Amino acid sequence: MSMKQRFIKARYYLHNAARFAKIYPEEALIRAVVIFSLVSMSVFFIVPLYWLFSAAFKPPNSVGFPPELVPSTITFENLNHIIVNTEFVGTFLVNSLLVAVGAVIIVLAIATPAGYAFSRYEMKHKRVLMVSILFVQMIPFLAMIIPLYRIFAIVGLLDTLIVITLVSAANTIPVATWLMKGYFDTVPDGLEEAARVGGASRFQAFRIITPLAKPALGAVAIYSFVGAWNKFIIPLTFTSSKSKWVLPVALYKFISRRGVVEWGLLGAATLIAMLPVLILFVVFQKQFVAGLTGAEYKG
Amino acid sequence: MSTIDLENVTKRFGDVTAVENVDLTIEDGELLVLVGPSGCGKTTLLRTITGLELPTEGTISVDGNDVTGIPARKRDIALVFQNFALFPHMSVEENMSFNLRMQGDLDAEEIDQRVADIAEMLDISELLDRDISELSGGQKQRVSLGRAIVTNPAAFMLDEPLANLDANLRDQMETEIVRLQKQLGITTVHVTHNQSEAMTMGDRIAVMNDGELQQLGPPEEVFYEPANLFVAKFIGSPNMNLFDATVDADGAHLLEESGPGLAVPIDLDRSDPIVLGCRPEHVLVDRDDRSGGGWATLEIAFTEFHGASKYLFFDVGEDTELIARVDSDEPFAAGETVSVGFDPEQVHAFDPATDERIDQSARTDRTRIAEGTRPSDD
Repeated sequence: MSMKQRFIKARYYLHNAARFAKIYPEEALIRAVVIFSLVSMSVFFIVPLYWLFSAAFKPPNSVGFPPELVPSTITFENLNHIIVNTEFVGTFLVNSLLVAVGAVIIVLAIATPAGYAFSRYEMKHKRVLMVSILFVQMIPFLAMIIPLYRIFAIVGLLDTLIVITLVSAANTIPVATWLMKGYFDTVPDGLEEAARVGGASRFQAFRIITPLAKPALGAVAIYSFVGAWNKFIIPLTFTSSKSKWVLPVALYKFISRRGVVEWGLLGAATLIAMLPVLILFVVFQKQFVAGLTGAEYKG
Repeated sequence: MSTIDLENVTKRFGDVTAVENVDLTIEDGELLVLVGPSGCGKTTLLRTITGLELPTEGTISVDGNDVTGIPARKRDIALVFQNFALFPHMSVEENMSFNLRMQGDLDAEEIDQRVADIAEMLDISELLDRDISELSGGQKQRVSLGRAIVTNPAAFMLDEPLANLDANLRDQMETEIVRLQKQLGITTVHVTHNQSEAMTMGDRIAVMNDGELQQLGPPEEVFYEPANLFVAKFIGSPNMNLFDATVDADGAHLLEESGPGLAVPIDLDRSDPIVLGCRPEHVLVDRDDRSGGGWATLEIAFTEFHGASKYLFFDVGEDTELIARVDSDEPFAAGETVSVGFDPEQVHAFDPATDERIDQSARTDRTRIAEGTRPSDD
């Protein structure tokens, strides 16, 4: 869209809004309040992030009060320092990636067939089963930390990345199963029946249908990736050696280790930690929404 | 090619009986049409034959071999779905070769050859590389037919394959399916709720209602000798006129309060009341004032133009109408008063207690009551 087209569109939109406000003043007021609160909420989330990220590009020790919104000088010193002089990228980022990708694989491998089974098979107490799966997720995680700690200690998995992967995956599977079930519900039965009549076994039919659930698979993958990526309490409790740190733990240690927080460095580190998730969302935004809302089946 | 035998097939879903005790033999190479209103169990019966549903009771055999417990994929019965059920993530060619690939006893070259042959037969050769989403409804239906016949199945099941097509295309596909079926000589069961489609296509028609088989026979038999009131009402368009009547030695007398109050000279050895039916095309309409028991004088309430024919509607009794079908060039108009009679050779008698047809082979009086307007036979 050219600038001129954008301008015409904006003018049309404003004109329309003004006309709407004239005819329905009350609705217009409600709309204005809604828009205002949405904007303030966005500001509430965006400004601190913006401030932190802008700190990443400011020279060290120039972060003060009142914060300057636009850095006067831009430097990559902080980023450079994090990447070159710390294990942030070399170890912690790699750990986080391993954990998140591992969790995605486990979640997809379990939630896809589970969701399919819930969608397609007749079973006794289906509703009860489905609800109890969700119920598991409502148990506060902190209540399970000590038992889990004991269990992992006995099995000998403490202080490994496997622990974080397993717990993160277990945490996501219930919602992922519901999502997959909901999506498979929107894929017509006829397709599998066609496959079965055509000579496919039930399992082959499932394999043929699964590619049709791509949007849901994508949404579940992103959901479990982000879930594992952001886990903080789990790695903090179940791992101790520095070589097993993941990004959130590393960020946390960042603050507490030094008496004085170096905002510039923290900003740079946070930026690096957020980047993969941001990229994922930007690239797969459409798929993510489609996966959450259901299939647009055309056959 | 094969014969399919259904013996006492019953299918229940929980408390609901979808198919009740159906006995049916589908002969080798025949096109049998299963017809009935929505929810009558015809699709369930078809799915039971295919193997997608297991019957609660009864047995299904193909060529004398019991296949009741055999899964769909091993039955060698192909199914075409109402909504086509083509795989949207595969091309036309991949869809058509799907069944062959799944059954896995042919090499790639032979599969390509078979698909190409069938595509040519269905006139879709140029579509093979397309995506399913690029096809029109008719093309999708052809692809779906192709996918089903490419394996040379023992039998061919069509589940309302024409319901999603527009009217013109439907007529064309009706003809095409029949042509294809005759060409291959493949045993076929076609399910539809459309009675005219059933009569056009079927070698034999099986009329179903409430899960039960009502009548099985060639289209002519079902049309001219409906076995019960349900079949009489369901087959034929517009619906058959049905009125309560009493019987005496002179014939049937239609009640005045709930019908046209005319007499039809048929010979029935019976004293209980009956339900008398006459198809709109067998209703005689005459402009001359005919007196006598065989005729009623009625006013045309309104007319409906249907191209070659015209329907005349008469109000008789409370909320009851009588419909007559005449050639559309007959100059009948609403408001006109005419004489109406029933062709005694073309009426059907039913027992109101059992809804069953009363056999009229014992009828003696076969003369026409009068030379009224001849009904159109189209």
